[in-house]
Amino acid sequence: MAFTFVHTADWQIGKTFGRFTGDVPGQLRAARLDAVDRLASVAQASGAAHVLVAGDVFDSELLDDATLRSALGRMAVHEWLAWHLLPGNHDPVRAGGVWGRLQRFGVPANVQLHLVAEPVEIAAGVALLPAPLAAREMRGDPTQWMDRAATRDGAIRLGMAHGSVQGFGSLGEAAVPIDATRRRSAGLDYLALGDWHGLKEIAAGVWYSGTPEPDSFAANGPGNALVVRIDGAGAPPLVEPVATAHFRWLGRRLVLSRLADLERIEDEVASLGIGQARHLVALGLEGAVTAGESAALDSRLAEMSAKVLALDVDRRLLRTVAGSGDVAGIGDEVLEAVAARLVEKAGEGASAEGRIAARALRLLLAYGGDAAAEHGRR
Amino acid sequence: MKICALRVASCGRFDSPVAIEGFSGGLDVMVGPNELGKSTLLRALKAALFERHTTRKAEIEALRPYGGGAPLIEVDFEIAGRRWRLRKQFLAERTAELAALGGGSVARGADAESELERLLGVGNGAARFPLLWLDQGGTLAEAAPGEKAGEILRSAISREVSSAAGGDRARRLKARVQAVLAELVTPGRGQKRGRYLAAQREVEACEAGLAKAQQALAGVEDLLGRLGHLDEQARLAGDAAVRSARLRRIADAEAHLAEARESIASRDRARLAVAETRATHDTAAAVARTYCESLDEVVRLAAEAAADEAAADALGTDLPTAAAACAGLEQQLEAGRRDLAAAEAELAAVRTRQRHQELSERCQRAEAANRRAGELRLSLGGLPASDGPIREARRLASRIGEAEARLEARSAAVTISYVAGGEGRIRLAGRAVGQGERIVADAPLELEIEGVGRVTIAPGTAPDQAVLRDGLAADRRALTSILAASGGGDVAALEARHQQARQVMAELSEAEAHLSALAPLGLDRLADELAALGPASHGDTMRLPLPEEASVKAAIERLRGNVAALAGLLSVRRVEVERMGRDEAARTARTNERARRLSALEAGLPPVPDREAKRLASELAAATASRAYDEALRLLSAWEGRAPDATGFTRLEADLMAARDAVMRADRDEAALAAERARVEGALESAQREDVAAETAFTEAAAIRARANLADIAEEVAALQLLDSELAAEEARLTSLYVEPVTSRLAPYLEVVLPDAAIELGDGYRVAAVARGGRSEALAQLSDGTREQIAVIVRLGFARLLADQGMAVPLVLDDALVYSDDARIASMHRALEMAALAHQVIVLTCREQSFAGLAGHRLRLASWQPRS
Repeated sequence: MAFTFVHTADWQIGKTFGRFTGDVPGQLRAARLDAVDRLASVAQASGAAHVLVAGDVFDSELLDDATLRSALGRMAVHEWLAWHLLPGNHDPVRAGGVWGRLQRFGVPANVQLHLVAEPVEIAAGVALLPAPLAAREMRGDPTQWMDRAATRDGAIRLGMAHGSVQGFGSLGEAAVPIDATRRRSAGLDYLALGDWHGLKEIAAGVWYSGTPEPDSFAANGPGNALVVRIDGAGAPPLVEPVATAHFRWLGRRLVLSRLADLERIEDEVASLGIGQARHLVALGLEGAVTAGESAALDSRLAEMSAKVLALDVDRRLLRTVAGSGDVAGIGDEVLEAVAARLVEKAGEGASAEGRIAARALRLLLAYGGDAAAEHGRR
Repeated sequence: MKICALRVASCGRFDSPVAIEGFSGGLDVMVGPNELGKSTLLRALKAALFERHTTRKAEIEALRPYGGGAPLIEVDFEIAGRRWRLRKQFLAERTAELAALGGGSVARGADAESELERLLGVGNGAARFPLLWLDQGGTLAEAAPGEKAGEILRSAISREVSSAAGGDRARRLKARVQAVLAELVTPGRGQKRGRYLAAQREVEACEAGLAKAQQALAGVEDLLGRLGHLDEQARLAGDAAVRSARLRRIADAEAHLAEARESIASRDRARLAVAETRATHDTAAAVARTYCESLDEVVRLAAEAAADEAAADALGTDLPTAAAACAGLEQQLEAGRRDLAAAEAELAAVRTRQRHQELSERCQRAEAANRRAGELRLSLGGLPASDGPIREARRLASRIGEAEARLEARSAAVTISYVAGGEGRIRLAGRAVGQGERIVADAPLELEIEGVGRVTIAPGTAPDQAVLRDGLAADRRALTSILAASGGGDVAALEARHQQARQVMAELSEAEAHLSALAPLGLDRLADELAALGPASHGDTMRLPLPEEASVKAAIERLRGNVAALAGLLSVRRVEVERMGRDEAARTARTNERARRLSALEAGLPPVPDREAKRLASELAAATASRAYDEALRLLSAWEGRAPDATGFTRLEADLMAARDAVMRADRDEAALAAERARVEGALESAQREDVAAETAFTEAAAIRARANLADIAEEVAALQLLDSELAAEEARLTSLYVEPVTSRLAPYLEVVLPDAAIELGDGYRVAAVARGGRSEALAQLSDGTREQIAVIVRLGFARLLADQGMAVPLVLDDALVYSDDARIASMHRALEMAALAHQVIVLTCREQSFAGLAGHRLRLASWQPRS
């Protein structure tokens, strides 16, 4: 008997994105709710009737009622689809938490809350072994109970947990250890994991699906869901990642030796075409530009910022140096002498003094240009 | 440029048209008294050159004469070798005309103004005129040129210092940097302002908001934790096993309490039985004991009666014997006491006679002493009573002797020595002077020599001689008086009488002392005491021989010993007799009491044959009661061990109470937990409605942005300050370049006026200091005279620079040197004369004498006939 389901996690509905300004946070929040619809589409396309959400459905236990009701409403719309929700470290099952409130609101029939660590037969011959988190941090492995959990003979055993897999570095943010060999020790056909927002296969049949809608510039393959097909108990699962992201978060580091080097990222953004507005770009600049280029750099970055949803530029490692045309192009001996001294100080590296001197040089060039124009008018 | 002529009409104090013609173009000097109108002429010149004819400025209005009219000003000047005539009429009839003299164009109205501007220098060019035209008092004002004049100077300098080009942009940039900085930080203390301050406040507001949001979030987290804790408590409280244990505890406590109550009842019953058996036992034992004791007492009383009878027999013999011995002793004692009284009376008589005899003798001696004292007192009657007269007589005799000796020493002494046969022929005061007689002539004396005549001897008259003589006479009179009062005679007789008196006084004292020793209280008291002894009534007795007192005392002592011994023996005997009496009485009483007691005992006892049987029966009854009593005590001890005491019973009651309380408390706690849970849930719901987590995240992000913004502005401020300091450093370098052309040109004039001094020009050509004698002095520290000289010298430098660069302007001084002393003003004249070689210098002054030494062309005011 084959069983197909969608594995997803880390929706973190209600995340605020306060680092951004304007309407960007609102758009990003809305996109996380919209991801529910896109997951339903993935399920429909793959013939899956179940979606396993492996923890952190909500970003916080303190979300307002409207957000919670919205999430339930989005899932209820797809009444043909069963949503299996697991509490994670962001939304642990505990008194006063989100789950009790959801129950008070009235959970739709197609939504199942897995708040207790006990096997649940979610379909004929398919047992789901959930490992809900009752706290943000747990000392013990919440999947340990699965080793002794009895299910009907011949049933497909699906594990669902939220935490950091031991022996897999420090993946995820939850301080919850999960044994990487749990699938084998518990006789699971598949272990659906959440917490690490990227896509990752830990071992055969043990996967992190990642978040369906990216929420950071980490380059770990976010914005996917996994369509999993198991042909029967003991059969190897067939896992297919499917893209679900609406917004793309691009993290780039660029070493500038001249202003023209900026074209690489400008070209990349341009290549996005109409998708530019769905991209957030974090640009870390290194290297050095001349003082004259620095002003132009500001201008071009401002131009790029207008094209994408958000542009976050880190230029702490970018130095301002004297260009051949910086000083000579001023056309005033006095200002050139001052500029030369500032260039010398700016060349002292990425120290605070160097940055201040570089900025003073940029001001000189900016104001000096104005002064020249005024002089010309006279 | 040079001024060639100036003409005015209806201008200030000049109602009538006047003119100054014939400016030399070099050093032109106009000397005239105050109110001549020199300053009016200078203002008119300025108005013509620099004010449009259409203007209605106050300066122009000020030129209107008191009598009214429109100021008309005409100026002839030369620029670049060409002469021009400028004519302007202001106010009512406004006209302007500029004509090139010597033929050429004539411009009028606005054209004339435009052409004039061109000639003087478009824009700021005209600003060089005020720079070099010093009004009255202007020399003490700040010597620095204004902004426009400064530019003119820099323009002139840049013509010869090419490297100084571009300084204008730096200055403008610096001004802009400072303007931007001033928007961000306050001058001086550099405190934040503007958007810098706003950014700081934004950070503070964000951090305060963040702290509040985090506190709220922590509060919610606390609520969540509290809720979990409450649920755990509720789960524990609702546990069936725990609840069952609480109920079981109540049942156990109740059973323990019931058992304790039963034990206590049994114990109390045992205590009652013990009391009853003990009473029975005590009664039986008392009966047996009393019976046996009665039997024993009967036996003891019989034995005592036998003993008492033997004692009574012995006492019947001893008592009479002792009483007889007592009576004998009493008689002996009475006789002894009588003998003793007789002996003591004899001793008293002996002592009375001895006392009488002694007093009688003392009385006789005292009377004799008293008589002697009376005799001595009588003998004192003719003798001096005190030492005073004799001491005074001694003192006067001594003084008389001394005076006589002094007089004699001062007098002539005549010693008569007769020749044979001449004896007695010399007479003095009627007597013949003896052979060898020495006559002291302390007063004039006359010796009569028979048959010869008289010899008068007059002693010298020393000044103190009369005094001595008077004193001697007075002393002699006093001595004579004392001696007469003391019985006459001379001093030696007085001394003898005084000695006799002292002898009698000594004897009298001795007699009085003897009398006092014999009769301290007086003769009368002594006589009274003697009379009290009554010798007259015992005359016979007194004559009898007296026994020895010692033998009488010895007899008395012996008699006293006998009496004491008899009294002691009698006392012993009497005690013995009394004891025997008491023994007899006691025996009699015991015998009576025994008889009474025996009678009573016998009455309570059975007949003698039955007495032993009854004793055995009573002892058996007592033993039976004792066994019953022991059994009751055993039972009591057993129940005492099982029944709790008061404390134990109270504890059992408390256990039951506590068990019941625990149940009630658990019920209450459950209710409280439910209420607390409802409260926490309510608070949590409220917090969740406010979405405190999202609020915290937003606030945190806002705080990060605000801090970044503040840091950015701080960096901008630092960059601006750095740029400002760099520009200032560059400007300082430039200043040194800029001022050099001026300082080099003013140096020759300075050398003339202030040799060995140097003027340091600073920012904007301001005089920063004057260096002299190796030290630098600020301008303000200099005297008024030196300051005005330096101001003129600096202008001379400016004027020379402008002239060298083809921008010559006349230097005009209107009473500019008013504080300078004669020497300095002379040297200033030399400097002005030097300057006039390079450009025109116009000097207006009211000080004719001071400026007499100034060379140059003297300007004269003349009447003028304006063309119509």
